[in-house]
Amino acid sequence: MGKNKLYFGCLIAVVLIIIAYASYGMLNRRQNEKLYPVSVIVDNSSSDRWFAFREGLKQASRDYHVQLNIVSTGELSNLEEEKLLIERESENGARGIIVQMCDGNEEEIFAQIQESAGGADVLLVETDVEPEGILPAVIPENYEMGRMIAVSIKEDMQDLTGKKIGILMGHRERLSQKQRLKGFLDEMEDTGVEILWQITDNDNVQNEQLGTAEIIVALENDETERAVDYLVESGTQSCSLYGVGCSEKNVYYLDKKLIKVLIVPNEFHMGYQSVAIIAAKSQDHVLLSQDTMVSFLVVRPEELYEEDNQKLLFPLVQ
Amino acid sequence: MNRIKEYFIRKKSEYAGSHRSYSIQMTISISFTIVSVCSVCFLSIMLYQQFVNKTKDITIERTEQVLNQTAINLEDYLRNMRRISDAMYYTVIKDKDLGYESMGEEMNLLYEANKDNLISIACYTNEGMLVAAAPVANQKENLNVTQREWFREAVGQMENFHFSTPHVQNLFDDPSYRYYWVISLSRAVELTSNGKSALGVLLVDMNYSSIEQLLSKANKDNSSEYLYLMDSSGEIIYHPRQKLIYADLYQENNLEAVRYDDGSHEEVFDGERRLITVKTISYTGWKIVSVTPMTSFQMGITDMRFFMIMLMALSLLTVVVINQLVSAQIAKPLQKLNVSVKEWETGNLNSDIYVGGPVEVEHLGRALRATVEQIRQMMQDILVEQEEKRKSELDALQSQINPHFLYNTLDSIVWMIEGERYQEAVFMVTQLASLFRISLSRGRTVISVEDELKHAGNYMNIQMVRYKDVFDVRFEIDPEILCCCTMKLVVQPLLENAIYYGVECMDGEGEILVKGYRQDDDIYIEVKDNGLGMPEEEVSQLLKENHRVRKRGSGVGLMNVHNRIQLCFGELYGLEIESAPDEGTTVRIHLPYICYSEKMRDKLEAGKQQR
Repeated sequence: MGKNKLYFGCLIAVVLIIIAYASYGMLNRRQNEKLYPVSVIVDNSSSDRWFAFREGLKQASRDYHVQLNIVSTGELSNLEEEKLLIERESENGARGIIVQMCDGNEEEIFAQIQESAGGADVLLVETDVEPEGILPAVIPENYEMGRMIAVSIKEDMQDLTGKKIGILMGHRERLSQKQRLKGFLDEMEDTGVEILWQITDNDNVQNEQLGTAEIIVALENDETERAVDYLVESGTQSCSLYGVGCSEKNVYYLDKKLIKVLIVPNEFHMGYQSVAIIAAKSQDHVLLSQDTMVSFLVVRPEELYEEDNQKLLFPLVQ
Repeated sequence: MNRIKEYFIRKKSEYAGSHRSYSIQMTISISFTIVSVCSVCFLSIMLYQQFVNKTKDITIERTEQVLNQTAINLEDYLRNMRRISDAMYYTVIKDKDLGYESMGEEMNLLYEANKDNLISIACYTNEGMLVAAAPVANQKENLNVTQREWFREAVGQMENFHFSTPHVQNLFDDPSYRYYWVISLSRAVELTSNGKSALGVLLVDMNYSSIEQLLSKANKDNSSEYLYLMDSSGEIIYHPRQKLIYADLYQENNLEAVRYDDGSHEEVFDGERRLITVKTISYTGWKIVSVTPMTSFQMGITDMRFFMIMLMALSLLTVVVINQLVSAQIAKPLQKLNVSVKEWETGNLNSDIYVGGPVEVEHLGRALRATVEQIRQMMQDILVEQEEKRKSELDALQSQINPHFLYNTLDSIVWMIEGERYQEAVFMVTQLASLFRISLSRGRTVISVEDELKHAGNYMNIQMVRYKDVFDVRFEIDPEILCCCTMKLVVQPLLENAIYYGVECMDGEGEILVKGYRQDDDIYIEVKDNGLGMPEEEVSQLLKENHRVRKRGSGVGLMNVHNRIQLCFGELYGLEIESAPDEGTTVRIHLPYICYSEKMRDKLEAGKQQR
């Protein structure tokens, strides 16, 4: 009788363990099916320049079961504003936050951003902070982009001695801008060019000043558009524009040959990779604090409709 | 080989050994459970497999349906585009003489009617000059359309429609910075100008978004299955991950799939087994390809797998509980029967053998009960027989009174009467009468110690007359024991022995002491003489069955007395003999302390008082 009870008890225990295992499996599966909420905070989020980036984000959110929330933003002028947004998104349940840093690059920002994010993972896009590697970042090869502008200018003009170059850049403190500028200046060293001016987006400068340069170098999408606007407005023919950008406006004026060379970062890749990296964190709980570099294209007007270029430059669906 | 054989034999015997120790309930329960577990597992696996196959079939069927439906929609769409082109050509271009007529208005009307699916309609001369376009827009500067693929193909194969792969339209200037992905449908047309015919090309740029929407509908769900579209050379026209493919973040096996015929194929791509279903779109040669990773069949049924496991476990739980109840129900009568048999085995002969349960068990119980009853009856018979035997043996023993004693006594009485010693003769006769009265005791075998000692006294009185002054006899009896039970004729034979073997030849110095006393729950009656005694070896032989010496005396020997006491009171009791040469002999009767009453006497005589 004792043996019978023991055998009966063991069997019941085994069956109960199986039931527990099956219940856990069913519940856990439903748990796994939950979407991982990720918020994206970028400067002027509705801008055309983010079109490919948004496409990349959306594609990755489908592939990695991420619930994407692209926060509607205007122009993010300072870090405090951005921190408030991060804090709000974290409170709203975001588990991951993809941020484009609008200002500053110091190490202490890292702590402030982390504090605002609470328990959410933070990933930087487009621009990094110094020293690099504190926060994971998906960024274009900024230095190379700057350098390739210089290389393109050198290819177009045999003798650059005495050429007056004006540089339009985004926020001076932004690391991406610094890197692009450095890349450009390093390549231009010993060419005899004269850097006539360096204007940031915050500088209140009259457009006439732009006309004083023979070559305008724009290190950011908005600055390239600004230069385009000036050239269209003024009808100036003597000024060559080399810029960084990916908006349809910039592509259009590249097509119109107003822009000599357009450096186009692969923003689709940047968006896709950002979500992919932050989603990977949700699965293996490890977020590597290292930069992921995104390639870019150097496009001239005559190469715009080449198959490889049009695949990356033009959005498939309007 | 031998070792293996030995191992199996050992295991078998171990199993047999362990198996024997199982209760019937456990055996039934284990057997039922094993059968149930096997059945449930088998059923579950079969059901699961059936479900997997069914799911796979349904998935394939659904995929083919989606594929066919998408192909139909796409063919409709493309047919519609060809109709637009036909309508433009046969109803507008052919009817117009461009020398003095414009086709712009009709072209615009056609465009407006279909603008959801179109980006533009344009007609070019063989030299690449724009004849008309809708919507009206500025053509880009320095445009040489004759080098465009759609133009070259249209001119190259004039009788056909030509569908291009998706590309960005690069014909008209759009100040709103819009660029459109289009699929160009081009054909050679005959233009009439001032009555002269010339070759031209009609271009209908279809909006890629329409095709994209059409195909993305089929890729709506989040499963890992998807459809993509490619042209006859394997160039991708639509893919749900098209941008990823363009960015080299994803790869598709389109160049391999383009070689597949219509229908389903299995392939391994990028380490993944996939089911590929291909459907070719008529006229264009485009192919819609459905990709279903084999893992998706498994993924879709993971819930089902867990559900089946849970169902199986719950079934097992139910079966195990039911098995327990059923086996308990079946085993219960057998267990009851077993308990009653065990009780009987422990010595309780009055144990009631269980009769009940199913017919077989009831029959078994009845048979066992009858057998037990028979055994009990037989044992009773044996007891009765033994008692009878004991009684007859006792009677036989008691009847062994030596007739010699009677003859001698009667002879002594005759001599007394002849010698006119009437008083002595009367005494002798009285004593003899008393002796016989007690000897007979109305056939009883158990009498009181008092009667037994009186009997001994009678006997000694007779002997004292016969053996005048030869020995002396004393009785030292504890009055407490007089009321106890004893077998009759146990003291007299000892006295007889004491006289004949002890003090007969001692010429007046012989002494016989009869001593009775109680010790705890026992009583002792000693007959002690100071006669010749005997060696120890002889003492040890006295109470043995084969030692029967009857030289003289009443004939009731020590062995007789000893056996009678043991038969009546049990083997703990009987005679004890102590003797040494020249130191006399003590024969001690050991009896239990049992007060004499008629009831007790009857019990002892019936043999029920044995300890």
